[in-house]
Amino acid sequence: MSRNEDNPDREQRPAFGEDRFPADSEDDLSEWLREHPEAHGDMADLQRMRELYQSVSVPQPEEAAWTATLTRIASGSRLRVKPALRRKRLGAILSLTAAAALVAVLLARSWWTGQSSTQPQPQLAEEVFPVVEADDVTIISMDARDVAALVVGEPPISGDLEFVQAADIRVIKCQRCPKCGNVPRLAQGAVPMVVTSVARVDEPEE
Amino acid sequence: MATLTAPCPTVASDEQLLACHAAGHRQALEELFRRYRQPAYHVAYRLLGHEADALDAVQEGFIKALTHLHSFQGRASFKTWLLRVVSNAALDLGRQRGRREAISLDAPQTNEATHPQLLAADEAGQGLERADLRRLLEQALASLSEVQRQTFVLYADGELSYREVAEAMGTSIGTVMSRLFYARQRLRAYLDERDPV
Repeated sequence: MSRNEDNPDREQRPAFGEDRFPADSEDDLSEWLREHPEAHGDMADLQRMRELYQSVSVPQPEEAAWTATLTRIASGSRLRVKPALRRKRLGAILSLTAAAALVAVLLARSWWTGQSSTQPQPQLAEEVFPVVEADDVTIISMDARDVAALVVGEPPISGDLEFVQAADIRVIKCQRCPKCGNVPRLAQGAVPMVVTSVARVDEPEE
Repeated sequence: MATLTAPCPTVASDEQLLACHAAGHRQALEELFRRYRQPAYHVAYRLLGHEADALDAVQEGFIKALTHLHSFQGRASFKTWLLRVVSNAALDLGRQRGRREAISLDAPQTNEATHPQLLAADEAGQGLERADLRRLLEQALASLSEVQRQTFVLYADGELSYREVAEAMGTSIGTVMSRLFYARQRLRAYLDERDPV
């Protein structure tokens, strides 16, 4: 027999055991099983074990219990079986609600517009964030990832931050980043200066 | 309100019954239940060891199987699909409630007392022997891992073929073979150790 030994019969053995094995391959498998009696024994024992379990009945529920179970299944599946219908109903309700809300908003807007044309517009109060001293703040907890962003003491820059034009900047020195080795490139023009690192330059070999 | 478009055939296939059920025929559900309540209950009982829990699992399994038909259609028979859902429901229920004392290795069973009809067909002594054997088989089953137990129960009590068990469990037939091999070994060892069958 040319059958290899890499357990090629895993799918065939159960089919054989269930009498569903193709007749044209049956001889091969029969021969293999003769050479591997332990496999035949396993199959037969599994079949015996199955029959043993099937031969021992389990306690049967009363007919009333079956009926009650069927009733619960009927009501349960009725509740859950028509999700499409429930979705349609839900969709209709949501559409009506949205339409009603839209009408209400339009009415309220027209009413508000009429009101505001007759009444002076109240000035929006500008809310200023209070500036506190470092001592006024107690940090209870913070994410470890934010520690590096925490600045304690005087703010690094006083006043407003402004974008600058390239002409506002005079480059005194441009050098390789000591940490990453990248070299900055200056792009000058009408737009604010952009500094990008474009390449890593290794130290020349000595 | 469901619209009943056509009457349900008297002798219908599972697919026809499912279509009738979807159309709102109560009789279709009753027929499906009548056809598969026993294998479903057997599987659930073997996995849970308790009648009321098993009925709960059957109930949950039927409801889920019927309301999630789109997940199975065309891939397996309804029976395979149902037993898959029932066995999963039984395992879930077992995890939630813990396996009852009925399957405890030491607890005696009293189901015969509550179900005297089981003994009616047999001699009393023979019935007791069967009860002892059933207890022993349940204990042996309880010694298996969950996945081995589910595989073996679908094979033995669900009366599914290897291929159907594979479909029900969403695994390969080789894996089913392997699980059954180890399940049988373990069951045999357990039974031989206590009471050679």
